[in-house]
Amino acid sequence: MTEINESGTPQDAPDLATDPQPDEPLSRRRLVIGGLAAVGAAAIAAGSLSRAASVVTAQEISDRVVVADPSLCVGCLACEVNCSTWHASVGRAAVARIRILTDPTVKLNARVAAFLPARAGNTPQTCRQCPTPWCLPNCPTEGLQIDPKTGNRFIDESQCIACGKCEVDCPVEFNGTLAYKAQTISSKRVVYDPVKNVYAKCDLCIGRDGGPICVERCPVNLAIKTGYIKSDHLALELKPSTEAQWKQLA
Amino acid sequence: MKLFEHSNPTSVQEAVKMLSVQNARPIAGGTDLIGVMKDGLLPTDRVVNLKSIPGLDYIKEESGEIRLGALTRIGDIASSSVVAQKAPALAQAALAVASPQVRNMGTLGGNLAQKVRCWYFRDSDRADCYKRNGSYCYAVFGLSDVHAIFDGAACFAVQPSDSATALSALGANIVVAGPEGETVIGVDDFFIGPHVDYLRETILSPEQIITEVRIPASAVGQKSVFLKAAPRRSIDFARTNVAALVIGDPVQTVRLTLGAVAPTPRRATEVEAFLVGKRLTAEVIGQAARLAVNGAQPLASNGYKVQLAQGLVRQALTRLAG
Repeated sequence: MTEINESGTPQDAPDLATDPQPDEPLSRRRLVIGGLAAVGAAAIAAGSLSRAASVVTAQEISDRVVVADPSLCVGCLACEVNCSTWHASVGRAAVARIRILTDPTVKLNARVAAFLPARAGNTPQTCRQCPTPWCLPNCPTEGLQIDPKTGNRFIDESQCIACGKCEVDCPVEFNGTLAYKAQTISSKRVVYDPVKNVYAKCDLCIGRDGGPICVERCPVNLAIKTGYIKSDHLALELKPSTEAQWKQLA
Repeated sequence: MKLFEHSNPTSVQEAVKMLSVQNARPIAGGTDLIGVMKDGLLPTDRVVNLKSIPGLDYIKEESGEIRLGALTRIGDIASSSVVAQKAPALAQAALAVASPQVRNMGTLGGNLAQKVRCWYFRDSDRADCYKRNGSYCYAVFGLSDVHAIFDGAACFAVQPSDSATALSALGANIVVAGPEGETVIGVDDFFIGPHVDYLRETILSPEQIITEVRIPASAVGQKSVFLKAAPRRSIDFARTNVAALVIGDPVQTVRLTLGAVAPTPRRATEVEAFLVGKRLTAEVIGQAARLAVNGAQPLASNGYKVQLAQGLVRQALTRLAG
């Protein structure tokens, strides 16, 4: 049987029972089939269908993930605002998939602090695009999908029935105090939009030219790119979603 | 200035209908809109003149409330004996608005629904400002003297209205007319920040207009005060303002609102909770003033607003204690 290591990544990934067609999004059903073939009926009998079914092959790891450096974050919330605005504008839920939490232990990078000394203590929290997409296997519809080209895990709202299973299965949380009005938050990183009655998660702004809007519009990123602030990396960065990267995020 | 259509409705319903086309904007005193149009900040194809609607210019007492029509000029509010005696914070705020000339043109509805005074938004060359449907806020790494120390989110422009701060402290309600009819909204719910929608400062949709402001009976005749700090005292937008209403000694009810420090008038709810049941001694007032700026996150050049807000809260509560 394939074992899942500590990070949730399969150590020796099984072949899928049915190979996905190149242009067909890898659906929950196909993953279940693949997972079942790999782990066998014993796992079902043990009641571990969801986790067993989520064993996926290495190529299904997302190509990219948004990674944040809290020491470069000034808590301006441009990422949150643009995330919800863009998703609303394309007809997806208007819920921020990235949240800025406060963390008094975070010290600002000295070059950023030279401009904005009073804006330390923020830590951006993003979807980790887990190597094992825990949010996916229990979805009873085709709502949660994996883009076959990029491995990006996204929600197709037209298929979402708001059952909340993805939220239950999501292994990471937004937990703490938001930079926005110091509101307390305790939710999974798959979030519910009561207005549209669907769930939403970071989909790396799928379909958007220019990639994730949070990365593009972060003013610190722009300041770094224009040389205003010197840094060898960005505050919010789209990085390869390797297992090592995932471990760092975890 | 670009050509535009000018309409003269004779009723609120007609005005609402006329506003239902794209880029239509209501005009009353015009002290804000004309500047916005001249600078080409927002596309305007039709101007709907609300002044042609009769019966929206009044100050009256009804059911214990003070009701002010949306077309009531700021100058009339400043000189109203009813407002001065029964809602002093609003009278003081009205008198603090701009210059006598502007007060004689500007209306209460317009003062509440005005666009922000952020100097980057008002700079016609900066079309990529969020408020102009752009994608950048120049204040974050630029000069931020007039910007928010609280609740900034992508955009850091502040709500510039003096009357809004006073009306928030008075717990006023705003009557809004639109295609769906009339709704009454509390001042604190009327203003929205950029986290909700960075293109708007209020919940008003393009077809909605303010028709009336109501100061509730619970605030009428109570002690209230408004204070404003601005570089020029005779005519300027607030860098910080504060309004407070206190009932009882020891304090039974208190409402304290800071203005021009956040994208909306900012109720100091922590301070209010702290003050209930206490006497306004110098020590209590000092603690309340410090609490009022708790959590402020100034940008590069607006740190002075923290001290300013603290000082104004101290002064306002001291006046109400006396």
